[in-house]
Amino acid sequence: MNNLSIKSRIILIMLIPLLTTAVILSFVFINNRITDTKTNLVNKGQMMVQYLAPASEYGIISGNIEYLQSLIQNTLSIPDVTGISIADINGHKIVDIRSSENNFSDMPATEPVKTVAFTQTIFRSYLAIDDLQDTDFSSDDTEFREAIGSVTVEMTTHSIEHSRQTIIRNGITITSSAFIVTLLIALYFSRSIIMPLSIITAGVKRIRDGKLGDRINTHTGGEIATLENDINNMSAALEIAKLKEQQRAQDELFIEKAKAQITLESIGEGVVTTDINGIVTYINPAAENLLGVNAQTAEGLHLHQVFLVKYFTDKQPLKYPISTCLIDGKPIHHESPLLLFGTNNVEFVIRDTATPIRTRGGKITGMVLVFHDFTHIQNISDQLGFQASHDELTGLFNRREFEKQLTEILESNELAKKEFSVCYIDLDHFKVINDTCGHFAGDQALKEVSKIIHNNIRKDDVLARLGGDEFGVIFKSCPFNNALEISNTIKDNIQEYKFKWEQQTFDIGASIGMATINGEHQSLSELMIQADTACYVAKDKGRNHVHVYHGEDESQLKRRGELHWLQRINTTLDENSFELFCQLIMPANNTSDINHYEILIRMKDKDGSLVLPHDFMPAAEHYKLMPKIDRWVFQEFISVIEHIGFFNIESRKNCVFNINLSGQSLGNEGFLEYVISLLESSPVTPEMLTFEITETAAIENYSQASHFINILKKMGCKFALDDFGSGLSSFRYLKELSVDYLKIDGNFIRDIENNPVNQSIVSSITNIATAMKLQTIAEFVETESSLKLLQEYHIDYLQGYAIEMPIPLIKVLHELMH
Amino acid sequence: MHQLLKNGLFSIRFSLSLIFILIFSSAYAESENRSIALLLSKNTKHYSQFAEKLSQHNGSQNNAPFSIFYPDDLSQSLKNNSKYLDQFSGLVVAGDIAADSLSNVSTNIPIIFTLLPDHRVQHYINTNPNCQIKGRCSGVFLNQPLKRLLQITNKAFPSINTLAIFVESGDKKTIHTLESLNNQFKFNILLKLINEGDNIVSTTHDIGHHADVLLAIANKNIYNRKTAKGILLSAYNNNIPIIGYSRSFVKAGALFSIFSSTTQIAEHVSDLTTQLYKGSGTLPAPEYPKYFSIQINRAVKQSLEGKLVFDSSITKYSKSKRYE
Repeated sequence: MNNLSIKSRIILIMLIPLLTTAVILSFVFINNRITDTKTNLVNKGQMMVQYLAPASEYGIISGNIEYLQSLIQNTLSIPDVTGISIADINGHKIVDIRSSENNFSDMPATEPVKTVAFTQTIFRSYLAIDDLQDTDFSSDDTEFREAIGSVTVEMTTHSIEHSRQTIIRNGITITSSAFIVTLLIALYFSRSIIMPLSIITAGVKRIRDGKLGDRINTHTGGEIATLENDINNMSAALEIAKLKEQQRAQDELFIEKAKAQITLESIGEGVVTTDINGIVTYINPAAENLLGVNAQTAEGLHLHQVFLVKYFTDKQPLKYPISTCLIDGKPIHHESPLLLFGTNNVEFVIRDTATPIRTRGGKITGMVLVFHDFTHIQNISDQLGFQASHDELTGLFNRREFEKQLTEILESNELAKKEFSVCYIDLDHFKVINDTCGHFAGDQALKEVSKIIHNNIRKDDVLARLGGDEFGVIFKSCPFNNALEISNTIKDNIQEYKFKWEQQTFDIGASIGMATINGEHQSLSELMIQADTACYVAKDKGRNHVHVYHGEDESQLKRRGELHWLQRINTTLDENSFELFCQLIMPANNTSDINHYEILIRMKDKDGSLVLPHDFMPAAEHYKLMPKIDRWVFQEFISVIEHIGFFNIESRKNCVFNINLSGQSLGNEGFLEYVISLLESSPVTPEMLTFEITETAAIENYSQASHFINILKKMGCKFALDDFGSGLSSFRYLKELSVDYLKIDGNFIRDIENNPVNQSIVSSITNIATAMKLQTIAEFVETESSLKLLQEYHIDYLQGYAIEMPIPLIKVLHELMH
Repeated sequence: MHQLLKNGLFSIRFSLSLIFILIFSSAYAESENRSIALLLSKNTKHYSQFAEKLSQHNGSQNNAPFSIFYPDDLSQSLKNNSKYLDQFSGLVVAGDIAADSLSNVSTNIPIIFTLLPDHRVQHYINTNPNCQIKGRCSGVFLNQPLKRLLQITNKAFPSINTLAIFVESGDKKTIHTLESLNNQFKFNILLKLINEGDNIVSTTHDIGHHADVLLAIANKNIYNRKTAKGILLSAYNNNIPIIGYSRSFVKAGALFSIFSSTTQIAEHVSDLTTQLYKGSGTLPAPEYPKYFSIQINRAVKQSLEGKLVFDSSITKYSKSKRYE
């Protein structure tokens, strides 16, 4: 009902009562008429038999059939009478005549003629004709009534049916006429309501469509006119509001457009917009600069004419796929950068994004291409990538890249088809150059040697500087004999090469270890060990050799304990079986009340004996395990101090613990952070620590060592340069390394009382240290005479068996605490 | 209402008359003028009227009043006194019931049978032992003599050819009489003999093609209230007017009737009873009524106009002694 239109509602409001009334009235009317018709028929039939009964009396009592027939014939012509029969007192029909007039041929043959019969008994009439007899009887007196027969009149109900049908038909006709008339009236009235409403609706629709200037013409009066006027007023108000809103929107749009324009013209990204055909419609200044065209020239050209790009990786030209955007409606974004031909054929590395421009309805009207100059970032990225994979000094691949490519080879299927091999090159006598001429000279030597190696290998071979004076070569798809031949050539060329530096000439040799890459149960580390082992063997053979790895090389080395120690060190680390000892470093001339204790490491053997560091440290250094050992020492030291509670005692202020650091640890990534982290989270104060760095390690890892020293000194730690004097160039770096102690190489101390050279060196070192305000420590003080002598040389601290033997750290700490 | 009032007035008048009669009869008895007994069949209007007229006429003759009885009364009286009737100078018996009640009564007083057709009077006289003596019994017939009927019919229908008369086939006297009279009139008498079981109505219809007028002669086996309407309808269906024999017949549809009313019968009987009062012990033979009336049905007469010549002046042939 709620969904009905007003027109329908009006029609229903008018028609429903009418139809209801019409149906009820028609029903009552038809029913009454039919009842009347039936009553009339009954009355008629009853009247007829009442007439015929006495009239038939004579015919019956006289047996005059003709009379009766005549009587009936006259009656049969009466409408609705279908037949009349007269029967005698026994019910035998004397006369039975059917009507020929009322045969109702107009009725369907299939429909039986319905009749109703009226019967009246025929009585004999008594007439008094004897005066002496009592004549006071009545004709109704049963004593004087004798039934002599009956008359039956059959009448059809056709007239009733006909009448009913006529009445119904008339009723329907009248009702239909009334319905139609009412409908027309309803339509007229609804039209009179709907027309104004339609006008109002059309007006409201125009208002909805934005035609706020249109007004509804007032044709009617009453509430609708009020509504029309109100809508007109509302439309006028909306028009004013719209104008204001348009003005405000235009202002805002202008501002936004200006902002957008300024933004587009200010941003560094190039922005180009096109229409649906790819024709450039806008180009911002950044795009002008990158594309090398001005906006006036570019606008109207096709994007492909101004935006010329190619792939960055393979430099293949790329026709920018604008159809993806303009036809498929998908954004474009290339994962890898593109190369843009810009101004004056300058190529820019760019990153691009193109997005379709759609209307509110989603229709694509063009696209916007945004790109920015990625050249600088790409260059930095390339540089970083290069640095990550190349040696800064020589420009060769570094160890990481070398191992990466080796891993790729091991994982590839090429091994089954072609031969691969790797060689490990270790320069001989290179340390002399460093020690003699300094690192700069050494660097120069390394560069030149790298060129020698590079000139001998093939284009596809991989050359890398693995560290220090070590190089590696991967011979790709190269028969082993050829690789061996090349390796020998490299060895020979290096041997023939003379490095000249400041009028000095140095001979450099190369020990080369080779290993074939067959992929059979070879991992990267195993392959590197094989090559390293072969190199070791080559060195063992007297240097300047090329040695090809064989299985027996390993057993040979094992016999020497190299690999044996590697396994034991790892096992000991895993089982935490190292033990910390310490040896007193005593002030020599009572110039200080502070005792130093050098933390020493011992390996506990299976039989409970202790293994000294000189047995396993070479292997640890060779296999780069020193960072692990140094971490363990530092962490264990902190743990013991904490566990004992040494940090709480007063005497700790007179104790400084010297902890050795290897050159590998200085160059180990994250080691410094590890030390700082432990210090900050433990009760051990930095003042309790002095780190000992060997002179060689400090020089070889100068930059890392300097950084390490500077950071920890700021925290309060002190540093001692260990084995000072073992390198000839040591003094050069003293000024630059902020150390606190010089720990004189034990070789100068051990026999000092009998060696005047050593005495001079120690004296010189002491003088220099004094000049630089550094304190000196003499180690390997093993005799009383050397002790006294060193005291005379004003050595600040003494260490050695003559002072105290190394004892377990825990024991020392307990003694100090008690 | 009017009828009730009329009946009421009649009853009052009748009762006063009876009182008057009783007073005078007793007075007469005391003067040794014996009264006459009147035996009525029923106490109905016609018998009462008959008794009244008879008493009035007797009173006018200064005769002793009648002693009126009904069969039950008479029977009771005779039971008490078998010679009860002998105290009267005569007995007037009116109607069949009254006549039948005398069948076993022995008396020696004169008896007058009346209000009965001629053949019934003859029957009672012939069968009643008291009438074995000549002049002892007499009667006044109710019906008219055939000749009178035919004469009046002849006057009424001067131009008819055939007069139909239904006669019971066993009524030999009537048949004989009619046959004897047949040649005395211009019309022919079509005598239709009716047997028991005949459909008189159908017979009436049958004569329609042969007769012009039907003359009804009183006979209960032919004309009764059952057959009357059929006969009338059948006759008029054939345009045959019927001549009736009673006032009721005219009223029922007969063109006219020739009859003697109870008053006229009473006058005639009164003439006989006067003789008895005068001491004459012999009565004449039974007689047809001297006085009669002719009554015409005007409506039937009008319907016959143009079809049949009817002389309505026949009423002038009526014979009425004092009244009519």
